[in-house]
Amino acid sequence: MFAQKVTDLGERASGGELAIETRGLSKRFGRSTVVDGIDLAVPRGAVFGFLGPNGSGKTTTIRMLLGLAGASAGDIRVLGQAMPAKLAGVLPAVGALIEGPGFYPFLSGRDNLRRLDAADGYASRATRSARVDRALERVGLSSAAHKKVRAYSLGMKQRLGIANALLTPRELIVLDEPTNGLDPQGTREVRALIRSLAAEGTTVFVSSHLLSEIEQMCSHVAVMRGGRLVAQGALDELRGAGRTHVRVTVAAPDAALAASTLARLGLARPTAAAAASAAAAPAPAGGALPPADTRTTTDAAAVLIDGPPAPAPAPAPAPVTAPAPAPVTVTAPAPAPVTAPTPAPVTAPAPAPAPVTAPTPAPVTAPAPTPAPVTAPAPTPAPVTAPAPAPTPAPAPVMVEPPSAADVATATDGTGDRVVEGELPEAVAAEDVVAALVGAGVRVRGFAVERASLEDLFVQLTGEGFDVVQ
Amino acid sequence: MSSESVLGTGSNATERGPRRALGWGFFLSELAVLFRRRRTWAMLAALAAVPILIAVAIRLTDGGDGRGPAFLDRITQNGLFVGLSALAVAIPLFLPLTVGVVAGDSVAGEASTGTLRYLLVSPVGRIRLLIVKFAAAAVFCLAATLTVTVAGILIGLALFPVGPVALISGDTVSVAESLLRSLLIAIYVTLGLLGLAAIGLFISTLTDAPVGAMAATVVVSIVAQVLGQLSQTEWLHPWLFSYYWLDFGDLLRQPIEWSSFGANALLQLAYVAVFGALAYGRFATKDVLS
Repeated sequence: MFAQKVTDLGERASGGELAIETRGLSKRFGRSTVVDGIDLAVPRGAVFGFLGPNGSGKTTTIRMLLGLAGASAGDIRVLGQAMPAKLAGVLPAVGALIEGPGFYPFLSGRDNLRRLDAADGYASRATRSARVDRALERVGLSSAAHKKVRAYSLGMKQRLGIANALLTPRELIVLDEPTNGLDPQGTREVRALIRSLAAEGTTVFVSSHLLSEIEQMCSHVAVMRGGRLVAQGALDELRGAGRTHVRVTVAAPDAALAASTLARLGLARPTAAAAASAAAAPAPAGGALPPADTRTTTDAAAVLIDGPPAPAPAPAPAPVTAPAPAPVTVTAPAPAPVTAPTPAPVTAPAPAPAPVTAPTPAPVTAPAPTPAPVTAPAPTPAPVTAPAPAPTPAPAPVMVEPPSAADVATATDGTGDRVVEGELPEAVAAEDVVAALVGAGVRVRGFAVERASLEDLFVQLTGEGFDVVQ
Repeated sequence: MSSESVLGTGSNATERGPRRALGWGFFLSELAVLFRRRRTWAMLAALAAVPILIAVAIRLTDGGDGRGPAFLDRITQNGLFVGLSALAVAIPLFLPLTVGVVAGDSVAGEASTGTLRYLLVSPVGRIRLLIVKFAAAAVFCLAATLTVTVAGILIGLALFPVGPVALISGDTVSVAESLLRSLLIAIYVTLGLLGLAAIGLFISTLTDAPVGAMAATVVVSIVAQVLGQLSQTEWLHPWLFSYYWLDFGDLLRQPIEWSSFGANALLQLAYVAVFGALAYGRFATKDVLS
């Protein structure tokens, strides 16, 4: 699924179609590893979003790509050439804004650009004035070109920094947080600028911690977390990447049958990620996910996608689960059979008696010390509630999903209904799942399809919330 | 990929030169940046004030008791000595101070304004950057000594009688030749400052704080002169970059005594080579994280 697509990208890499390619790129400062073995693959012509929270290693990666910092390990190819060995040949075709603008405060905006253009040994002196003026015009700084940069606002400096990246025709433009300090109008202009650059065929590599920004202008995206690349691919692929989660409530005795039916249909075992968002779904919008859920989420996401498992998964609170290798999860008895066994592909089950997430008594979740409340998935149309998870009270430590996301075949509790979950492959329609279940004689009490939003996905991938609005 | 495809074709050809320029453009740009800073002009003005203060003080007091820096007692007879006297005053402190500011700022200043990373990705090769920075510092050394010399000559012309100059060896040379010798002395002093400039450049690659690099460079020059005063470190004296600083009087002999000029040049060349190599070793592989 998703991992598959990453592999595809990697194969294309060998064809020389990549503007940026890294293999096992790492950077260590002393004992701390800032960038940890990332394999970037930026296709030519893409608008590539490099997304990650502050301190996830984005800027360090960019510095290594541009030869400013040496890699501790790994290979870099930029525009098909090895870096930093072929630096002098590659960089003239690369424009960059790196970690904010840097200019001489005592020179005017125009003179600053002339200076940096003079530093480029390939840039023609004859056309310098014209190119500088055109770049200034492109970022809307023509009227302030003669002012000393000391008198510029942060947003104007940022624009000047972008203008510097546009001084000569580039094959690749690297923009590190290009909309920092810009007002909404400036942000829109930068987005339009990036689109026009892409339309000209320039590859744009843009880093940001703002999902909305990336979402609006990028064709491809990579997500960094703690120095690791946890996801990479076309934005559309990421959007649809197997995020469709199916929850079927069945009569308890039929659970095994349902599980095997789902397995036969090719429903992969669910990621806890999806389960977590399911758990959170009934919560009021704007509420916080329980920390433990978040934890689970990221673990599972990492397993599913590209990254290595996150450290120390939260210990499963109680061994409700029998770790069997069946690819389908069965969990959480719902004592009250709420929903009718309608074969509707997407149901909004009857209002649950206990409308809030899993076990309210909460001793289940090992509260990981997440400092900031993780934003709950916004009320996207996707997450349809699971049928009435009203859990058994205190002693039985039931939870919606064991944190380990281990393969769970059967839950031990024999009363009431069971929930069987799975990830819907792209080839299988939700209707077919219901039809197959009914055909197999499973008493289906409820059926829900959940599609996680991109925001959910990024929260899951990075373990923390992004600013989704600006 | 061939270099052609990196450079692009068609419309790009007019905007990118067919091949890399030699670097004069960047050197000129470096000089433009240096000499468009108000700080540079403030330092040159301060240096020009040295001969003016000396000349005015002597004019007002009508000579002195013969103590003070070299050539001071000759000023009342011949204004052309103001420049030489001012150089003797400026060499121990003022000139090293200004050179320390420019050389110490060279790389660290770019790092602190954030322009270093943009220069490097422009791209300026790191070696090229160091060479251009050193060359600009050398130009500043010349500008600084010429400022002192020229300001001294001008104020001398204004305040004192001017005539043929009596040299240390007893001979007398014409005004024109004495001006030539003044120029020669300015070059001699400039050469003497190059070692310090190289040290400043090296220190500048060690830090992102320009003020620290400037201060350290100035301290180095003071320490060298202190060591040069101590008889206990006599074995070290010929190796100090400040050893020949005040020996420019040898250029006021007839015929000119070139030995100190040559020894000075050789010593400074050694300093430039050693500290240039150190700066390269430090900077070539340095992670630019500023």
